[in-house]
Amino acid sequence: MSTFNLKIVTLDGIIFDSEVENVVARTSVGDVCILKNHTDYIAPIELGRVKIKDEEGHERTGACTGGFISVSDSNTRIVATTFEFSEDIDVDRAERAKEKAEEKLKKDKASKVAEIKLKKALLRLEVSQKK
Amino acid sequence: MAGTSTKDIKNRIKSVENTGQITKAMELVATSKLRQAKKKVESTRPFFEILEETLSDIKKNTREFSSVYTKKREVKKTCVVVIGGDRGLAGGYNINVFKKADKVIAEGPSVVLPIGKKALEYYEKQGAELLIDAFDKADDFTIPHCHEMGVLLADGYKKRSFDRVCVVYTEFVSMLSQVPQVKEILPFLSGDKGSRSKSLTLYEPSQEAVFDKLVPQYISGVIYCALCESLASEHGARRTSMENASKNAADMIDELTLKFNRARQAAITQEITEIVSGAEA
Repeated sequence: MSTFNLKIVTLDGIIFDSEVENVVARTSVGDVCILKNHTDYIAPIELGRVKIKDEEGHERTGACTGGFISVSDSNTRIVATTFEFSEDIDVDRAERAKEKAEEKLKKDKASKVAEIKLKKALLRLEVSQKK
Repeated sequence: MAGTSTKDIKNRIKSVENTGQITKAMELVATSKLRQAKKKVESTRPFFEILEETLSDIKKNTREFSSVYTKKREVKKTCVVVIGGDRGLAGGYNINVFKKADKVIAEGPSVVLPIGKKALEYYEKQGAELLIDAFDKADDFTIPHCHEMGVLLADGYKKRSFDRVCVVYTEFVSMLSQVPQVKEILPFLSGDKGSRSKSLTLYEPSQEAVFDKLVPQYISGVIYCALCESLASEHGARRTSMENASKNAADMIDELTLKFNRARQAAITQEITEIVSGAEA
């Protein structure tokens, strides 16, 4: 299968920059798969999983907490607030964050911050188990 | 009389030595923090470049495009985001940023969003109108904080609480030079209409929706980058000023030691004169 260049950047720098076969991201209207020669495209990404199939056909999964994906002249870029590949996720930390957020939600059910934190922690746990 | 003076000088030398030790330690701490901050500045740059590129691409590629964020409107009120430090003892770092910010504020009615303890204190004392006073810690300012602020600013702009958003921060030029800067973030103006490309871009769900989602992210990105620059500048400024302070302390110690030796010598001479004159008598 033909490949194209994918760049993933976050505020911590360029996380991924290499050729891939396809990338699946969760946009606000649903999962979108980008292949080579995709038309120019821009969509926001929601909190969710991002799947990549690299040159050798290996699948990698990452947890993305929002941002957007853009394709122009078959240069694909994911600009994310945070992005972690499944192997980089600190499971213990995610577990702790989950407990903390759950506790907070028990005390204050309307806390949006805690809700988002819980969602993020759950996503990380889910992604880390799907190696 | 001579005895007390040597004692006084000795005490002073000791106290200057202590101060010198503190400034030296602060200098070292600032140096190591500066290194980290510089790394952070460098890592945020690619993100920012791509973000800005994408946004101006959107603007270029669309014909009947209008968003609240790009349209220029009469400026009735300006929101000024001022990024200062949490602590003093950093030379002119805080003062220079405030001076720059005050110039922007003086242009017309404005509301201030201070970041950092010193900035908050300064504008509280000035009696300026504050948008929010929750961001009093520039040191452990994280990405979620920036996000919160991005949403806050975008919302305020949309609701016309203010018509212009500026960030005043300190650009880290080099170890020795840090320059306060003003950056206008809203209305979003970069990307000129002349170089419109012919490609048709697909936007999901719609152009406006995409843009409205991206702008808060853009703002938080800008603020985060500005903050990283400011932090690096603060450490740079502190390092320089502490280096000078340590040098001054060393000079003072030299001077005082000289004085001390002279005073001691004078005391000895006097004593000898007294003994000799006593023996003669």
